[in-house]
Amino acid sequence: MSDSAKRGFKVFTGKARCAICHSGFNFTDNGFHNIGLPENKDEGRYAIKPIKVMKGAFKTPTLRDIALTAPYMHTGEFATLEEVVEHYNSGGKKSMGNLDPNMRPLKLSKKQKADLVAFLRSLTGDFREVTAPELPVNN
Amino acid sequence: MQIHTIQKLIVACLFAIVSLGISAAEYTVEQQSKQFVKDGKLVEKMTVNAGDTIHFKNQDPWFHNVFSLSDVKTFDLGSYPKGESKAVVFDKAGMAEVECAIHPQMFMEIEVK
Ligand code: HEC
Ligand SMILES: [Cu+2]
Repeated sequence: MSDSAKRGFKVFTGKARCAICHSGFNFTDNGFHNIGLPENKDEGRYAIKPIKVMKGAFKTPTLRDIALTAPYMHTGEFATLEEVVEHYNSGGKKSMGNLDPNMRPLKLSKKQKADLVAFLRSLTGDFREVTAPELPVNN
Repeated sequence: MQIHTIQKLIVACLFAIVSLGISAAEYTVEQQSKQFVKDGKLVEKMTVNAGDTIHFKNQDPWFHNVFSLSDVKTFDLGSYPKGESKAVVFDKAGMAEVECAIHPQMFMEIEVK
């Protein structure tokens, strides 16, 4: 793992709080969230569980081999991991009156964003060294 | 004579309050490690009497959203963080299924007698 990717792991579990949802060995909490995708028009999980918090919510996907599986999100609206990171950095868009309470502007620096992308790229192939801890929500 | 009647009334009132307290029980079900837990143990099913209250307390450092779409009791407690608790009175007899909207693996049944 490069130094940049190592720093990126710290950003992932720290300031960027990605591990709140992308936790454990497969980087998923197996939960459903609305992360405020600008292109999403689909009510998502709400069609199955008509509970307000499920409006526009989709299942947290794994991040293993993420560098190989572009485009990103169920909408396919991001072509690169840099765009994904920009989306999270913006805090997401309130859609369908429902945005996951963990989504908020992250105020990442240029270098932190690059390190985060390097970390995501490092999750490719047989590399099985890192797992994300289950992160507490820091309010 | 009048004082005597008032005394009787007070005793009757106290008795009513005490017996109400006995007939309607309060329980706490916690959300812990993405499971429903009661008295420190995983709970899949519990039985309460009509009129009893269950407090759903989040003990995890992330949000949960407890709800039920059952006929006997439909509710949506919304999502709330660690340390917060919301109460539901189960007023009708029957079976209630309780779930978490965020974590579909969280599920329990409540039999209301
Ligand atoms: C509130 C929970 C939550 C947080 C916090 C979160 N994610 Fe996600 N992530 C999701 C969900 C849900 C999806 C799927 C969204 C969809 O397709 O509608 C997703 C999708 C992704 C994807 C695309 C996966 C694919 O296969 O298309 C990437 C990459 C990603 N997240 C990275 C991150 C990074 C990096 C962070 C931190 C900056 C982060 N996530 C924070 C819940 C979250
Ligand atoms: Cu939950």
